[in-house]
Amino acid sequence: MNKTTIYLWICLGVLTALTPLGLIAQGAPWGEWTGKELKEMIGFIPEKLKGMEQIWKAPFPGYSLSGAESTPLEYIFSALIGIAAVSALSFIIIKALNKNMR
Amino acid sequence: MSPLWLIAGRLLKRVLASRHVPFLALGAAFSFVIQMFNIPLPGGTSGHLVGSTLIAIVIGPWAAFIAVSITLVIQAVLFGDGGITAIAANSFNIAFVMSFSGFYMFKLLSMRSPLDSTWTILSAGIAAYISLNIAALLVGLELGIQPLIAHAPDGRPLYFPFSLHVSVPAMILWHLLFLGFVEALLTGLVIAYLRKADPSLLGILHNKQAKP
Repeated sequence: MNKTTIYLWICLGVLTALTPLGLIAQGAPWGEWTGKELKEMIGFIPEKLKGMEQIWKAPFPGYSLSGAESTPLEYIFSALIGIAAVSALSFIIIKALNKNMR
Repeated sequence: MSPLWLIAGRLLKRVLASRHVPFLALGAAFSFVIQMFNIPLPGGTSGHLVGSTLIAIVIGPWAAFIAVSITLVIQAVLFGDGGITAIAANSFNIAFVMSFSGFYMFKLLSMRSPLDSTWTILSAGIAAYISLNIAALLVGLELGIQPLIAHAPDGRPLYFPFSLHVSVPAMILWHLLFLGFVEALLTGLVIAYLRKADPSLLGILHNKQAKP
């Protein structure tokens, strides 16, 4: 890794430390509501969306460890897990490509 | 969606210069972290940046498409964000379309200007602004046609309940007025830094452009 790359990873670390700022926003992005939120808005959950939330149980739902609202520390921890996971997946993909294309 | 990922994989080996390999992970990690910054918006909603244009300018659009797709997969699988069933649509909008529209917009705008010009930085910002808005518009359109194409005989929506005249303005308004500018600023700043620190990282683009 050259100097620039290291510097960029450090910047990413600083951003990671600041991620709890992202918890200030209260509402979900438009269209990304939970079934409960949707019910509050329009009075019912559309037929085909019922049960959709149950098809996959994410290990860290909503960037929290407990499943409750994420705390700032949990949010930073989630960011670190996310960074590790996307990096691992990136390297797996590159490794696989290198192997297949040789 | 999967054919696109396969093509991207095939091309990646060819287009991803070896000096850019660590940047696939860095790009994915960068997009992951900036998407965690939920920005409060009027009306009780929030928005977030994406970073696809920036990543595409540095490592090329196919690699950026893969990087941001990786981010979206991890968000859905580990954190229940975006959702498993939405991975393909999300990848199409903000990984594929945004990377390619941003990249080619940047190329078009900066075509005749040297790498060290101010216009190159402005081009990156403008491309980021426009491509983020194209992606937001696509999300609005895709959501808004749902009540038209998927409703019960009594007219009740089976999936998404809001129609185009609600979903398109809701998606596009704050991207046009605010988020697009933040995305542009971020993109311009990072490109300006990279240009100064290590222009070879941006070389992939300008070497090609230098050829007649």
